[in-house]
Amino acid sequence: MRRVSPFAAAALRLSAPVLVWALHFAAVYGFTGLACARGWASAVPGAVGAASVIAAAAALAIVAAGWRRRAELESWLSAALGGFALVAIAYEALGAWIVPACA
Amino acid sequence: MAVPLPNPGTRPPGELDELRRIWRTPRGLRFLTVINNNYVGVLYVGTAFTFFLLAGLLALAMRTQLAVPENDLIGPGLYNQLFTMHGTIMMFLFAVPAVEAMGILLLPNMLGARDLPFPRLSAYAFWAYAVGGFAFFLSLFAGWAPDGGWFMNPPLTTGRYSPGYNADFWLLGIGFIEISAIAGAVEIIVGILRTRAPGMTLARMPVFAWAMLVFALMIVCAFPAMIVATALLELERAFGWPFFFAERGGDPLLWQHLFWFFGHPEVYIIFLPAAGMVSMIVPAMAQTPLAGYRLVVLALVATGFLSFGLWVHHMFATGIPRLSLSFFQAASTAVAIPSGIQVFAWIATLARGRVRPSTPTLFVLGMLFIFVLGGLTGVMVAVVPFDWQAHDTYFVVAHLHYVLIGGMVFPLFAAFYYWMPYCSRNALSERLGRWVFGLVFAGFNIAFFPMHITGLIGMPRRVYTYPAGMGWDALNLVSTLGAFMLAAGVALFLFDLARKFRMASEASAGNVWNAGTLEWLPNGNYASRSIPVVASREPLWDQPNLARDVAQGRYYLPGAATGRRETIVSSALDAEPQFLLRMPDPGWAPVVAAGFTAAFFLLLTVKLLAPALVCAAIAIGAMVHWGWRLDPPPAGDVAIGGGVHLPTYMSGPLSHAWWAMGVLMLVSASIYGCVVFSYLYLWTVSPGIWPTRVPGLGWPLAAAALVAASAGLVGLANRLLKRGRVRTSAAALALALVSFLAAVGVELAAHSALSPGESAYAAIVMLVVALAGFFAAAAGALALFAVARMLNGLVDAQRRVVFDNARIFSYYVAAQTLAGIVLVHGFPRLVA
Amino acid sequence: MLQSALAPNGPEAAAIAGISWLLFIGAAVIFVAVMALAALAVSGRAPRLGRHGVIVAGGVVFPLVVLSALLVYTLVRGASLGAPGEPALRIAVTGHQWWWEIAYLRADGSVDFVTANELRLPVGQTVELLLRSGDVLHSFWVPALAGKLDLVPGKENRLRLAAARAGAWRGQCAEYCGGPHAQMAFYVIAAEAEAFEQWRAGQRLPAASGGDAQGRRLFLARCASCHTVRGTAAEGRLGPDLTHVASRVSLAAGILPNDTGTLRDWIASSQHVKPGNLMPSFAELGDAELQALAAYVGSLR
Repeated sequence: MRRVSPFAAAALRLSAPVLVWALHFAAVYGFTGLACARGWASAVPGAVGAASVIAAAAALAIVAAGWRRRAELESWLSAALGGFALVAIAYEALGAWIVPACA
Repeated sequence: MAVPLPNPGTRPPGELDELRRIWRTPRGLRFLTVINNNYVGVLYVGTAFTFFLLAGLLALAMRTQLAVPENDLIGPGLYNQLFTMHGTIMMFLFAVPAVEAMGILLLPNMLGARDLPFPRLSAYAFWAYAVGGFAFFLSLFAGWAPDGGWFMNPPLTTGRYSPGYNADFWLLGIGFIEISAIAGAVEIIVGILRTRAPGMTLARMPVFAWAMLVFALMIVCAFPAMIVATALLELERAFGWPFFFAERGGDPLLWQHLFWFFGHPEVYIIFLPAAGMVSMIVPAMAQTPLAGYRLVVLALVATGFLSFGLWVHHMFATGIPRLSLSFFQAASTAVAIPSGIQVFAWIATLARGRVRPSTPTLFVLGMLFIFVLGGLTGVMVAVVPFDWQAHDTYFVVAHLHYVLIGGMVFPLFAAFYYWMPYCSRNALSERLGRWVFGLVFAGFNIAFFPMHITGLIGMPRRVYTYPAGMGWDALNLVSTLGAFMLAAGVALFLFDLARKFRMASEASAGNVWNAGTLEWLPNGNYASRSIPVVASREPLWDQPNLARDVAQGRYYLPGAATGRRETIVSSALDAEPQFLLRMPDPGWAPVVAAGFTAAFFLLLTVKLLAPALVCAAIAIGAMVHWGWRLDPPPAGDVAIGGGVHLPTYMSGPLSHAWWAMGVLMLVSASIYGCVVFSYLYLWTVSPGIWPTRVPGLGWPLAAAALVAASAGLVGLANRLLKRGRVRTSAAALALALVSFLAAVGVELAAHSALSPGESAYAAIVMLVVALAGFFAAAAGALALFAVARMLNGLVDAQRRVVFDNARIFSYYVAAQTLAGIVLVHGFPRLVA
Repeated sequence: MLQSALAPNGPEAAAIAGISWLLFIGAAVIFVAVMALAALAVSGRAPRLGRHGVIVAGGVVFPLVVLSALLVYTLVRGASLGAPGEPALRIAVTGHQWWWEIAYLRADGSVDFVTANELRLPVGQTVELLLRSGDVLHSFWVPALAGKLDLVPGKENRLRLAAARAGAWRGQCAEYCGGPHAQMAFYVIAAEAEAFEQWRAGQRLPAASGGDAQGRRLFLARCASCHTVRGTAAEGRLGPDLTHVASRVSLAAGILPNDTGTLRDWIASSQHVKPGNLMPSFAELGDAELQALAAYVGSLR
């Protein structure tokens, strides 16, 4: 077990930003689809906004944690992927702000 | 960077001959049993390239038909088969296998391993793919080729609108590629993470290996969506389960979600390895390390994950709410950034070095030109309103060929020229290479650039003819001429290939480019004579005399320490040697298993049930025979040099089998995730068919209790085995299997009132139950195999890999089945 | 340009064409710049291009800025896309393998009259199309008016259009639907309000009586199980409504000009003209019979 755990830790650090983005994506897309099918259009912008704020905060935390140990490739990658996740989350939130929910 | 040599003295005479003898290539008919990665890799690449040529011929037939308006050379019946086969073969039988094959060919040598960790699995995957792929191609001559488009959208492809065998042949062809891709993913992930040369930390790993790692992980996540989609369609076609029929609560868009959840990542599955190759070729051509290594690795991983947020960008015109579309426009926009990083990293590398004018350089520059243009049109079609016009027109035909030919075929040609001296006695001709490049590059642009315009002025895709006077005539003629020019370039390449390519391992032309990575070490079937210690990303540039010292056996494992084929397994992050993996010899079992697997699927497709079952039995028999010889008993520790002693046996979390099982569980979880998605999706679309009354609580509780009991029995078997009580342990394992099957039986009985042909709800619930049965059967097969070995004295407290495989997979299946029980019994109660 | 996205004749198509030109020009500038940098790099005369900052600037910062701006701009433009105002007219368009059923609806949603393969619109008015499918997936696409929208079984998609000028444009099925998908086209004819009303009044009427008597008998015997001609015993629903077929500009879903000659050829050899379509060739009919049948159908104005 001694040699597996550093790998597990690295795998976790690398997948955390991916998971944050994926969960946010699934949440906003799934909720919008359901809300539009059931006629809850007015709830969409708020829900997407809230999910985006939470996800962005998580992504920021990942960036901060990784950046502190950026000399190590896995940590740097984790931080940089967190940055990507942040951009993607922001891009997705933009839609809820500009585009009418269920048109 | 001087590294102390682990074996500084001279090697005993005969050691190298022994190594050669052990890794000898079988001759004559037995050549078919070859499992060395270099031979299987070349066969694999060659087969994939053959499919490229065949699909290219189909494209020429289509371009001939479209050369003039209202042409009646080819009617719609054949034309529809041609474009379906062209797309399907190019995507599934050429592109994915070709990049996977390049991985099999190059990775072990690039990483300093003797071979991939599961060489027989590679051979099996190759033969299943080759036999099945050619049979699939031949369906064209029987008029049975699929004609529903490479995306096979239902309802067109359901039994109602496509009653013939054609669609079944598509499902068949895809089945083979699912098998070979997933087998390849297991092989590549474990190979990259666990068989790297000592010192090759993740930060020193060649970019190609990073690209292949991302490739394999993407296959693990994306192909399962395809597996589920094809299963749903086949269930519809064979048994009428209405997943795609709206009047019974299904939805044709469910297919599109699943297909494109696979289909869009698929594009990057093809592109990333090719980009990885470019990142290897550019530094060699510029004679300087890759600029921005970390950024390039970041780009590969970021592309890999963002590509899973793009799938609806193929469905912009289906009438999904605009806000939902905007999420996909967002992800499609963000995914352009990593490609920009790679392009600028290559430009910076070229600027740093002195660029060698060579054919690989030309193809890389051609790739830059075409791929950048394709990327820019990709940003265009990511814009929702623009896509509403461009979608399903020749603009998209142009875009996708710019991306795929620029992003994958040009790099592949660069790779052919670049790595030819690695596996052939001669390099390809540089003089002809310039002509090949010129014809292919000019022909490509002449063929495909006009299509942007053809599409914008209104020509849709997948039309076998078009009326005159629409402004499309001249553009189409030019495209056809370009296509033939492109074909002439490929023909010239074939001519040169026939003249120059001579498969060779020890006698290969070698490092003619003065490249810096390990695959350019002097090598034989055994890869490099000894396994180097790596201290940088380009060891051949930074470690003086590395090639000489490796060839003289001064590094690790200069011979065959156990007298068998073997490779060093190292830790995933830091590549510290952990144990010596003894690997199997060539044998008929994988070939026989693959041939009969292919025969089974083929016979099933044409509904010859009895012969199909016979073939399945033979295939399974061959697999058991093959598996029975694996897992040799521990043989103590052996010295590999430098005072390092490695164990020859490893079980538990450090063993390679444990990791392969881990990958298989990820695949299974992805499959299950897609089924759960389908369940929730159907509920979103058709809540009205969800029942208000479901089986009483006693049913799920009983099933869950049986599953839990089964997992408990597996745990008990584990404790018994640790104490050396092998037979009692085997009994507990067998009992666990019985308990599990009983749980599946309870679930079946609980839902016996459902008839899955009647509603999509019944169909999806039965699918969840059937899946529990399928996984129970798979875990059961592993358990029975373990029990058989235990009863034959081939398993004990130490030699227990086979038992562990069955154990951890059983735990996984138990957890998954419990989740399924919660879903089908809990969700209707929740929403009722 | 009968079917070009770059020759718009309506507000949505015009807006998309505007976005398209922005994209083309932007892409051309970026493409030339990147190729120039690559050429400089290869020439070996610009080692400064090899600095790490170049990758960050060119590969991260520049795309981030340009793509963010593009995303905001296109989302804003896209959100206001489509013809403005409440629709003056609703038309149900149903895709069939391989033709279009066009039902003009009254204000209460009931069917006013049914025609096929030809959509007539009043210029300058917003029209809402209710897109449905009778079998497999199809896609409704008139590049001159708007982007495409799919016809999905079990789902009703709505598309709002307006034609800016009078004239004829062509549209075509853009989602592969099997067989002769290539030959599933239609015409859109935009007319000034008065001409449109006149046309609509004519379409509401039952078929003209009279015409060739032998042809009429043949039609009722051989064609009526698939085709409707309002005012006669022909009430088949499998093929297009032919009540006023002779008033349409094209035959066989936008692929043939409409006159007695092409009508006769179509009836005699529809499987040659449009292989795989669901209407059999009536090759067994004699010349005189074909002539009579074509004359009758040609009289249904």
